[in-house]
Amino acid sequence: MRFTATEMHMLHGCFRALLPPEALELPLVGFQIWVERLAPARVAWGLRGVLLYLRLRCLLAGRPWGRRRVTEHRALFEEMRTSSVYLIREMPVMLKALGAFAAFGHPDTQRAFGLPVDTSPPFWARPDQRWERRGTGSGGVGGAEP
Amino acid sequence: MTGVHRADALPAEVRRHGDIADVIIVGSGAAGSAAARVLAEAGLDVLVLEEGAPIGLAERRRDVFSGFAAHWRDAGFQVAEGRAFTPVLQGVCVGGTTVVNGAIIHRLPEPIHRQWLREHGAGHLFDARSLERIFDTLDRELSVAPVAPDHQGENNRLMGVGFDALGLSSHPIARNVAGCEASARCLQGCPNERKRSMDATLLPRAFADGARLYADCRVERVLTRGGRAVGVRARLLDAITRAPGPAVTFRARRAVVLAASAVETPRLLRRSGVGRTTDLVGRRFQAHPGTAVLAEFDAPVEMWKGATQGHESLARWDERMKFEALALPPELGAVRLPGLGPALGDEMRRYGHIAQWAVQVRARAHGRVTESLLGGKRIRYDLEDADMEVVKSGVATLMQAAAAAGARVLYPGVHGLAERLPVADLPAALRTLSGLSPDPRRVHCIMAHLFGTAVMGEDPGSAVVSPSLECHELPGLYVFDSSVFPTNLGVNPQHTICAMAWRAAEALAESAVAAQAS
Ligand SMILES: Cc1cc2nc3c(=O)[nH]c(=O)nc-3n(C[C@H](O)[C@H](O)[C@H](O)COP(=O)(O)OP(=O)(O)OC[C@H]3O[C@@H](n4cnc5c(N)ncnc54)[C@H](O)[C@@H]3O)c2cc1C
Ligand code: SF4
Repeated sequence: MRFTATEMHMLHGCFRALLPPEALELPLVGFQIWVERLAPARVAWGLRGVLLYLRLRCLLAGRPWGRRRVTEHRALFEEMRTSSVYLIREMPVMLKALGAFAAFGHPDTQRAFGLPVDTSPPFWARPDQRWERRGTGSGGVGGAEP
Repeated sequence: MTGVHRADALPAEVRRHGDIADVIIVGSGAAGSAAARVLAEAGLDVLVLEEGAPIGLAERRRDVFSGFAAHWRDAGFQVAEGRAFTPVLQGVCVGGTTVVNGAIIHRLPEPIHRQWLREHGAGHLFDARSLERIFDTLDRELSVAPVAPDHQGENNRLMGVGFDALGLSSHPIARNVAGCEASARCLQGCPNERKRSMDATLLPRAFADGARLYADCRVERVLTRGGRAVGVRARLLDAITRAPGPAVTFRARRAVVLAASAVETPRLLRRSGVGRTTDLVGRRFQAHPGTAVLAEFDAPVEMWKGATQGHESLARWDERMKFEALALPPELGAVRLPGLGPALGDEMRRYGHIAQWAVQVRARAHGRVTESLLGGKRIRYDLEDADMEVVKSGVATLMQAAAAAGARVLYPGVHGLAERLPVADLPAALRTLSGLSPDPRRVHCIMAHLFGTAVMGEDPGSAVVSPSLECHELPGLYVFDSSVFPTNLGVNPQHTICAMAWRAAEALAESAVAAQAS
């Protein structure tokens, strides 16, 4: 399922509100494109529903999403996190989970937080953004071609 | 790995007209690999068809999202729906979920085995002595041994300290690894090739005995003739995009074995027309839902050093819970820690001091795997109130153990408790916790151990497969994975799945070889 340009823009806005500043230098749009490609239809529709809910909620509150500052987006998410309605309080969790996958899977962010875990950038953050043919690794136990 | 053939490298003849073997096995995880290992050794011509691809060494050195995208079902987004959404984790690659699992080894618990013998006719093949013999062999072939003390790491060690202080027994986990480098990345596929998963053990053994495996090959249905299973129809997938390519027919001279997991096997059965009379296929889906408590210590924990899962406690197994240490990569840790924006950054700066331990519940709940009206699968699952009481009690134990081990802040992960709880507030939090309603929406569980969607039993009216794991409705079609388990286990299932498939394959080999001889 393809997201609209507005949806992609909003998703980026969500990440800006949810992630620490150290993560915002990453090419998150590249990550978003891969989420769009890989998420099963049900999840993609779920994500679209979350973005629509955010838009409507902001509109009904008299201040559209697009006119709000990052701090206001963050405050909205904080409020949703404490909701007694399960679906509403899970929406920021879903968005935060996606953002965290991108941010904390990247060696640059990990380094900024003193976490020496990964050494090379994930595929979505590489300049060519190439999705390699699977199984063509260095020919380890699982990787060698017949 | 000789023996593994990517779909796009198959000879044109096979891509057009398919292939034939004595036994076709669908899926190369715990069950499929054990079956291939035994059937090939018995001299049968074995063809394994696997939807996923082999994972190369480079691909194991990846962040979580890349790993999920490459070799997890639905890129890691598979969920069960109920009052809460619960992630259902499964691997899709050569070696199946064993490649991305925690490498914890357990034998089938005696009380569960006794129940299966008593109530489900399991004694026909799965008598204690046969299973013990197979478990011993598997222990050898998979290099099973308890975690060495110098590979524990702080996350595992502290769990022992906490449980000792509570007077609850605990011990280092027995794992299927050889020369483990304690890099705590088992869930992304061991980057050092130390995990003795199926792609490194039973599959190469099967290949040495002549078995072959076609990867990127998604089986769509079982083919029948004269009321017998005679083969399968599969789609060859594009190696990069995973887009479905040509449909190919594979024929089986003796048997078709489904080992596609407790989620995918019932779907295949239903698509093949099995289960129309009893409506049992896909029902009775069971699991071990699990949730975790994080705890912050003064001293560094550095979860990224040590065995991913190196310490466990069965002290409250009779109360349907099992505790395990579980090192969490930072991407997943960030989801669990509170705080948004800069506040999340503050939490993550202390990540090196965080430990995580989990409780897994032998839940009573039954769910269902069906086809969605929108296409694709639908997994329905809802924890019962009694299960949730177990979850709450398990979370309480984990918090107490962390406090006893010296934690100063706890992250219970329960809606209704503080997200960040100083240990001084623990007594009050425990009182609050016990009074909370048993609503599954209060916690974030995941499910990784799945069972029961094509149960075994003697009575065709209440079971999908016979005690020798052949389909009641369709002779020649066998189910060897944990779909056939009549109940969940309360312990990690890989070893039991392998052993059951092994034993069933021995019986199948005997009858096939006898039929060949005559
Ligand atoms: C994160 C995680 C950690 C775990 N940790 C442990 C642990 O430490 N110890 C333990 O004992 N257990 C653990 N488990 C569980 C254990 O790995 C599984 O229970 C076990 O691997 C299941 O075996 P299986 O053969 O039924 O299915 P799988 O191992 O999942 O294999 C099924 C295979 O079938 C393939 N397949 C599915 N459908 C098709 C189709 N239509 N056509 C062709 N191929 C198909 C899949 O791609 C897959 O490779 C863990 C699971 C997870 C998710
Ligand atoms: S702990 Fe590290 S080295 Fe050991 S098996 Fe797991 S991933 Fe491999």
